[in-house]
Parts: sequence; structure tokens; C-alpha cells
Amino acid sequence: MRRGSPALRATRCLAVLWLATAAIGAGAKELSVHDAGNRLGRLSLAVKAEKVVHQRKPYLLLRLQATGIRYVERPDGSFDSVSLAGRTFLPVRVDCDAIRVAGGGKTFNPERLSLCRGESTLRASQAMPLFVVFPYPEPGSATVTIPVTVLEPEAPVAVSIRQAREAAATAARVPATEKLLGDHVLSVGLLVP
Amino acid sequence: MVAGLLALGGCTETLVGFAAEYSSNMYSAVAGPPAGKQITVTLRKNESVSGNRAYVRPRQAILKLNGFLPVQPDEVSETASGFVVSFTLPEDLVKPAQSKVYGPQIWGELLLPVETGIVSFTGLEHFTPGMVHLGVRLTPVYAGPLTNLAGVVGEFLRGLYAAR
Repeated sequence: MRRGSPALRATRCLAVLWLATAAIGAGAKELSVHDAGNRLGRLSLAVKAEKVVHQRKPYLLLRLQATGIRYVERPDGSFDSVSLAGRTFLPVRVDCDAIRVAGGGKTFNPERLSLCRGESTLRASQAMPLFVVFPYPEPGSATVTIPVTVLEPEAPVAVSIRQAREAAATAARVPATEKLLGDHVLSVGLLVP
Repeated sequence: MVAGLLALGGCTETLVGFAAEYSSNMYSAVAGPPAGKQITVTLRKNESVSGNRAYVRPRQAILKLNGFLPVQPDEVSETASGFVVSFTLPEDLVKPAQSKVYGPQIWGELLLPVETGIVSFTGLEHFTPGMVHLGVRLTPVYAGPLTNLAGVVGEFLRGLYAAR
């Protein structure tokens, strides 16, 4: 295996991370919905990729994490960010065994080293991340496909009767997010150094 | 001659373990002493966050060190006030540190699942999932003639300073 200097390897690693994050952002645009006059630009999920070593062999570690911020495009074209909490956060169910990495003419299934096995749901913006391990693809470009199911938002806990009434009224007023709910496949591009 | 003795002393330094430091704005964790391939951390059972009580669930904790696979606790023991959680460090991290006189520091993160209890107006406590994120820094700790000598000299200097 070709090895570079630590600085070069760090730069390559950063490039992989940046590309993975950028790709998930771009891929999520098709999932955007209009919500109370604002366009919510991203699904509440972030993906990071990292090269790790186990028993001297390189592996690709994917980290799936809920994001606490979603970008909002206002009707006048300006952008803002909103904190995802209560009904603005859409829980995402991920089947870790169904994630695939394709690169160099091969398709890889998750390794048994993965901490996430089977289905897991990211129920809140601060939920624990999911870690999935793959064989390290050959240098070049690779594609990660992640089947996800977007679920109905969970109602926030009302600590007063007034809040309970307001929550019910808001739930009735906020447009439904049917376009986002249900099964989707996220595709993430990776540059493998 | 002296350089030779120092080199010989340096060669006999052995890895005792890893000293851990944890950093977080909202939660404090206490590192245990270096213990070979393992590290231990003491956690409080709950923490007050924005007026709500956040309960730590250490059995699903994850230690993720940069460049290595994430690991989960080997053992969680419960005490009256908290939990003592131990992790076995990846072999790929420990072996190189054993073969060097002074291995490098390793950075990473400790992810702790918490459940925040929010008491609704009905009086029931509802639990929402969350996470406490702590930065981790591991420093290999060695012992041997050189370290012992440094300890003796340090102790002597401290004694001199105290008697001043």
C-alpha cells in the first residue's frame, strides 16, 4: 500500500470528510419540503467517513448522525438556520445492514465489526451516532447508498396546559411533511485516497 | 558513559497505561489511573441540564479515538453516586505505544447516551434521548529507571521548595 507523509494523509482524510458531508447535503435537496412558507433545505442526517485501522488492516468507517441544525430558505431568497427540536426534527430510521459501498467495480456489505446492526432510529437531534464499518475501497471514487425511512415528528412534552393547547393548535396549522416521510435512498459520493 | 546509561535506562521504560483527560462544557468525567490496555472513567448518574434531569446510560457509551474503530464498555459498575466504566483500548493503538519509549498522544471523543426527563403538566416524566459529548486526550505513561529518577528529582525539588 502506498503511504504518504502524515500531513499528506491528513489532507486526504480531510478531503474525504469534506466530500462526504458536501455530497449528503446536495443529495438531500430533493427531499426538501415547504414548511410554513419556508423551504427546509436538508434532511436531518449527516454522514461522515473516516479511514480507520483494525488489526493493521484499513477499513472505512461511516458515522451517521442526526443534525441539530437545518437550513431554511425564506420566501425572499435569504437563508437562515433553525434549531431542530420538537416537531421540526424528523426522526430517521436506518437499516445499517442495508447500507452499501460501491467502488472499484465491487459492492461491499457492512462488516461484522460494525457497532450498528439491523435497524436503528435517530429519534432526536442529539441522538447517539451510528457507526458502520466497511472494507476499505480501492483508491478512486466510491458511492455510499443509505436507505432511510423518515418518520413523523414526535410531539414535544408539554409542561403546562397552555403549552399542550398550543402544541395541538400548531400541529393542526403546520403543513404536513408527507413529501419527506417514508422511504428514501441517500446517495453519498466519496473520494477514496 | 552517562549517555550510554541514559540510553539503557530509556530502553527499559515500559508502558504502564494511558492517562486520560476528558473535556466538556456541561459534564465532568473523572479519569481513572493508567491501567495497561484499559482506561476507566467515573461518571455521575445524572446531571441538571436547563432545569431538567439528564440520566446517563453508560452501557451504550462509545469511545471513538481518531483513526481507530469505536469501542463500547467492557464493564460498567454502579456505585452510590455514579458509574465506573472501563474500556479496552484498540490493540493497534496499544502495541505501537509499547514498542516506543514515548508514544504520541491520541485524541478522540467519548459519547455518552443520556435520557432527559421532562416532567409534563400531568406529573409524568417523559424521557427524550440525547447525548453528552466529551473530548478525550490519551497520553501514554511509562515507568522505568528514567521515570523513577525524574520522580525522585521532582520530589526532591518540591521538598526544597516547600522548605524554603
